[in-house]
Amino acid sequence: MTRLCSWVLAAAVLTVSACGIRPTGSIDAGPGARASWESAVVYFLHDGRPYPAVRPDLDSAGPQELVEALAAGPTTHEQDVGLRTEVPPSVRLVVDGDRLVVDSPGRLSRAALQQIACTLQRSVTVGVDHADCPVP
Amino acid sequence: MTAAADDRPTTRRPSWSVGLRARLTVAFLLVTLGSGLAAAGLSYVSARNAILDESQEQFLTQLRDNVADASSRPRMPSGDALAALVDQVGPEDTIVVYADVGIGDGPLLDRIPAQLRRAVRERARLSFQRTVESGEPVLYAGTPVTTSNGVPTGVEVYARTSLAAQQDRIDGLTRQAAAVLTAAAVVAVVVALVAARSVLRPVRALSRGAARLGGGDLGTRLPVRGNDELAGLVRSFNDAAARLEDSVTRLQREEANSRRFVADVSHELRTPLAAMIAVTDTVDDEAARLGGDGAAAARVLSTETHRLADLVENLIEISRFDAGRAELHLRVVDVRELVERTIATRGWSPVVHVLPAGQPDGAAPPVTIRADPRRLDVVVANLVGNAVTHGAEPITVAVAAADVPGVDDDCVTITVHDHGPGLPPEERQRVFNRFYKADASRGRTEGSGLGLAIAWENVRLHGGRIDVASSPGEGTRFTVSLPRRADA
Amino acid sequence: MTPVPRVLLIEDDDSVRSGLELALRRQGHDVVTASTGEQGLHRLDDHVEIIVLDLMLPGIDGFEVCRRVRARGSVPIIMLTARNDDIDVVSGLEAGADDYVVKPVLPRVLDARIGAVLRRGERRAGTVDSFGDLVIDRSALSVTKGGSQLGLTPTELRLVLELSGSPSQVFSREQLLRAVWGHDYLGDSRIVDACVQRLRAKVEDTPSEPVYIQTVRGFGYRFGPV
Repeated sequence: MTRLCSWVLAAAVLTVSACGIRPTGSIDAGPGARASWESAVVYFLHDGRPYPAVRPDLDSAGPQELVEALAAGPTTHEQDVGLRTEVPPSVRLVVDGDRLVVDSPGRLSRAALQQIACTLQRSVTVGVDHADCPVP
Repeated sequence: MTAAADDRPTTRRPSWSVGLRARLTVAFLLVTLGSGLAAAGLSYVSARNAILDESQEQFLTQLRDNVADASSRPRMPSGDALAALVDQVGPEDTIVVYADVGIGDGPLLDRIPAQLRRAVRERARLSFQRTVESGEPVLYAGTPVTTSNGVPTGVEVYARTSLAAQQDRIDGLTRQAAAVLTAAAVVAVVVALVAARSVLRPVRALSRGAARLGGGDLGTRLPVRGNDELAGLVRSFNDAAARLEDSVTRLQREEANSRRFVADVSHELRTPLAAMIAVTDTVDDEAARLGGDGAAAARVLSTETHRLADLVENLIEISRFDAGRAELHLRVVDVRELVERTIATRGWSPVVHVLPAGQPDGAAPPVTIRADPRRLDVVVANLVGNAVTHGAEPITVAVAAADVPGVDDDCVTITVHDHGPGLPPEERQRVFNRFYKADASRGRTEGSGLGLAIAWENVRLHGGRIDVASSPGEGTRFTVSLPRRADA
Repeated sequence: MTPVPRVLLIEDDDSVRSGLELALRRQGHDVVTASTGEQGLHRLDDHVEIIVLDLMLPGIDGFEVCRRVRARGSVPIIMLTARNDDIDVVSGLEAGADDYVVKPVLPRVLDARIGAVLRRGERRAGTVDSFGDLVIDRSALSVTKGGSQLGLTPTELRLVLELSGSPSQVFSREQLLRAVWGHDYLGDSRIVDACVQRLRAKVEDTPSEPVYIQTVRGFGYRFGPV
């Protein structure tokens, strides 16, 4: 009789658990939507963390121009949604052999360094570690 | 303790046949439902998954393609471009999010599951999540927008769609499965009942046959149908019944033979005894004149002749009971009067007291009953005689009518109580056995050894019973209960 | 002292016959014996006052002897049955026996029964009563019907005297058993029924519709009312 009971129980559990459409967690469903164009991406700060913004016009620009774009700050619209920059206009980028050297008259904040690192990581092949950018 | 009652265990109605049928039906039903549920459950799950997968896949693909398509035309992301993106992806249930600011279906932003937002932002991959909103299943999907070389632009598009239609389809499947299962259950019950009937019919017949056999109808045989296990059982039953009938018949024949032999011997003994009894008075008279050894011998002859005559009479009486030829000649009898006369005529009055000892004026109310006075006299004489011989004084005989508390209705009881050593429990049943001897070391007792057996038979003939109660300090108490008989 | 009553003992077993003869003699009876029914019927002429008759006899059996004795007169008969099988008792009583004892019988019991039966024929002081065409002379111990004498055995006579002594009074079988037969309370009341049947056959016009000796169901019998 116990075997019968367990049978009935199993059937009942199966029935209840299989019923209807049940909530799920978030499930990965493949790569995201991809636009047909390429663009340079610079990273401003959003809530203190690097956040991307596209700069289609800088598509083929060099590192120096990208850093300048960072220093130029977000567009009006980007400012409206809360993006800002900590990279000062005085920052220069010097190429030293196979290294890029960030030259700044004042001391750069950690956030500014992250902005520069993330931006350059996307555009230039440089060895920047620990940049804590949003993943590609 | 009851010695006279014919305690046969009451035959119970065989209730198990109902139980067996119910069990068969339930088992059949459970198996059917179980396998049905398993099959329905499996196909249900796969059908549901197929429905969900298909609609989800379609929704996700559409979202990805729409977003990719829409985001390709204007270069992003100015506010206008994002608004245009919303327009192109579909303004209903769609929101474009950039840096946590939504454009499009405003309220939607707050309803998107945080887990999904985090997944889309951190993994930068297309993700979906199902939730239930006020009972309705809902699918949320979100995708980041990346450049053609896969760099996230910070723009995310979320869309929501209701799964109510899918829910309806799935519910429809459930209802179908339930309907099919119900139909299967009904069929299973019918099939089980039919099967149980075909199995139980021979079992019932067997049960009835066994009851008839147990009730004494030894000729009971059952028809053997088919060649299955039940048929084998029926054959075994028939064989057993036949063997039982054979041995019972043989035993009965042997017993009848031996009883007839005892009866015949007793009758044959009667004639010489009649002659001997006729001359015992003479022998007794002459013994006085003989004197010495001759007198002693003559007295032994006389005494033993009377004993032999009593024994033969008792044997004949017993064989009459055995042959079923004992007849009751009923008439209205005052039991108290009968008891007193029985005791008085046997000369026991000095040692036996009849209770209640009457009213002060000595007039106890009569206790009347329809009975055979001769047989009742034998019963009382044997019980009181037994008490006088084996018990010790005081010996009392109590006669009680139906209205005395503690006595069955419509009964008259005669209780003979002695204060002897009492009977051990195992002896109490056996005192009514023929030739029972209370003391095994005593070869012979005063009586024939048949007195209590005859008393028992006589009481049974009246439809009554004798109970024996005994305890070491209390002596022995024989209680005769006789039905008053309504036609008294 | 009355003359010693003569008893005819008909018994086929030699030992039983000898034993009973011896015992009855010692009780003071004048005993003549017979070993067969035929022999017994011959001895009937020897002024026999009572017959003690064994039922199981070679040749003509006790029942037949009983019937033939009744056909010839009113000598009282005590049956001696080897077994008190009811069918034998009833048949014997119907054949005309006045009483019965069961073998083996104690001589003093048989003597008491003989005495009781003989006493029924004793004359007592009494009157002559007439009921319709039935005349009962209590002192002469005769019953006539329509002027002709009825041949009643002492037991039948005593029964009709007892019943007619208190016309319309109901007697129970036990009362009659004590009064007529002198039996104790354990006596067999079927003797009464058998005797009533025989009596009706003699005194009633239609025995199946009795006028003189009526049955009171559940109680017993009564005489009349005529």
